[in-house]
Amino acid sequence: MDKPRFTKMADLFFCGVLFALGVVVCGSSIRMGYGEVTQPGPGFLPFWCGAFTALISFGLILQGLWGKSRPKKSTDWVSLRRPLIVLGAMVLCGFLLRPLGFPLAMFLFLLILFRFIWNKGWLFILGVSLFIDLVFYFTMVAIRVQLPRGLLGF
Amino acid sequence: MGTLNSVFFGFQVALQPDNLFFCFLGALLGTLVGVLPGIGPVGAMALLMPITFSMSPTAAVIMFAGIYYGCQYGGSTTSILLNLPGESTSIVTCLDGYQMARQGRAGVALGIAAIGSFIAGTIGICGLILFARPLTGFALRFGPPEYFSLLCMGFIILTYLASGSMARALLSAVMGIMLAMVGSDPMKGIDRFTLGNINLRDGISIVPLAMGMFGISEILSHLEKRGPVEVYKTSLKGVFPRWKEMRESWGAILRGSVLGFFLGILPGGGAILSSFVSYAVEKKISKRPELFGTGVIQGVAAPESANNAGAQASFIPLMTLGIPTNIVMALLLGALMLHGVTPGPLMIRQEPNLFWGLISSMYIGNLMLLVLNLPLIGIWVRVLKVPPHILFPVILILTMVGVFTIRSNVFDIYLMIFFGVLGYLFKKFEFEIAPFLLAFVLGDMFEEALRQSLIMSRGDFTVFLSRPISAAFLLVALGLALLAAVPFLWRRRPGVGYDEG
Repeated sequence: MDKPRFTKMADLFFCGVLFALGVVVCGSSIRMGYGEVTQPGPGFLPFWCGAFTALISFGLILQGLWGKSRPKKSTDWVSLRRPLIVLGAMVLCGFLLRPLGFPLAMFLFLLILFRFIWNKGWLFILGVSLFIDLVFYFTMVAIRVQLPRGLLGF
Repeated sequence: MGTLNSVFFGFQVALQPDNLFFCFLGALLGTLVGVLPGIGPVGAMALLMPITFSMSPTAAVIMFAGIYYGCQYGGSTTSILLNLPGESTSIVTCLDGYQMARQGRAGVALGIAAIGSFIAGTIGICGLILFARPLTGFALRFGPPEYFSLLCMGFIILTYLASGSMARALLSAVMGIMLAMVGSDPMKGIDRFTLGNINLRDGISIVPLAMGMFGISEILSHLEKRGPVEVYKTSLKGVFPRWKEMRESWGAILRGSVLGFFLGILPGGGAILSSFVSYAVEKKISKRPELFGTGVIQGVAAPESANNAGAQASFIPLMTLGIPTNIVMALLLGALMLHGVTPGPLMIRQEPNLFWGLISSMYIGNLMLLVLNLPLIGIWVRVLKVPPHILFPVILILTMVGVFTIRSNVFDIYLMIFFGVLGYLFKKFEFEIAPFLLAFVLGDMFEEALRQSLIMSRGDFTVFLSRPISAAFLLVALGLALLAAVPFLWRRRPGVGYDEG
């Protein structure tokens, strides 16, 4: 699929998700308690926000289908590779933060970034990762920021 | 206390060693984040918010304000030397600033940007001193309907000025309000949209949201591009403009300052709107408008002055009405609330230290920035050479640590990642982030004002029209909405494209 077409499909999909979100919010708001105009309940404003979201996103979908609305910045799966690696590394780092502790989790995070995003040599990766990790760790200790201790006990 | 006495009192507060230090730190960090593409004042402030817990509210606010106006100075450096705005407020500066650099006049461009910013900053502070007190008196007449209408007007202005489709900007704002509803209902205590997650019961914190939407999404967008960014090799000698250049610029600086100040007060306005409008005005009144974009000094002087004056002026609505007009002010509001200070009409009386100390610190900060940005410009140029493979991992770790330390909760990191993805998608599909974030911050206030207004009027919607101040705000909002609805004018909408991050 070429870039503009991929972008257009992705845009339509995104607007579709927003439409569904609007509908779900409307439904949840009614269950929460819409109240009355004289005594608005917890679901009063969310209901109207949901309805508005669904309405506008539906309009955008129609616009997209008629070909009038298309984001100017095109994209494809290839250009998403590096952002996806970073996101994956961040999720992994968050997951390992408590079991491994801050220094180890961050070291691993840096290893992934340098290896898979910037394709650096192992000497550079190990040296720079260790340096940045230690600088961060000692700075956080110095300003008394509480960080999770993990396997190594620090 | 008379105004002059209050200003002297403010200087006493601002000149205390710790406040002076934090003012310098804020100005320094502001210049740094302004210079570095990828991290803006929002990211920097969000990052530093946990550190301010141990500081006095005055010192914290002085530092945050320094970051904000420091960014306006720093942002011009990358615009002029790289044709890459370090800040969205400096986008217009690229047009003529970069051309001046190509002609070997980068020093003069940087010099006039710093001098213009200083003069505008000074004018902005004078305006702040003059207008804040009368506006406070005016704000005391505000009830829930006035707040509701004012916020409506702010949302409409914000979406009207968005660079892309107004429908998308409006959708962003509505989603921001919706997100603000997450957590316990303030009136009935019922959990709303928490998905059964206990971490969401207190609502979503502004820090992971702002860091994700601005910091993470910016890095993700940068990572898509390949190839290094080259600094334009040009002479940096002679940063002090000559008399002829000063004579050519002074009108633009003054006009930019005054215009920037008044546009900065508007909800939804601020530094970015000021810079765009002042550039357009200069071009309009110029005898040779065709030269704009080819390296005209007024094209640098006007927007750089306007963005600084706008930045100072945007403190007025926050301090007097308790309403942030842009995202940076929203974060500042968050920081003040965390310190137990509620900005609003009573703030001048209840927190004179903070109010007058902040205003006076701005003047001191502007002086510091002049020193930081004129003789030390070479250092900032060197900062630009930090390679992205070092800069981005450092920023990513900083964001993760910053978010984690607020509640020592890994959930906040996941939340930040989620908002990073959302911000990235927003950029991809041209949804504006600024209306989203500002609506999120104002969402609670908006809902409270709406519900209180309806309760006090027993469901009568005319309460918004029967009160003159409220009706005036709604009239402006309606006017803008109608302008946008006319297709011919839609195409001519003066979109500026926010990203006050």
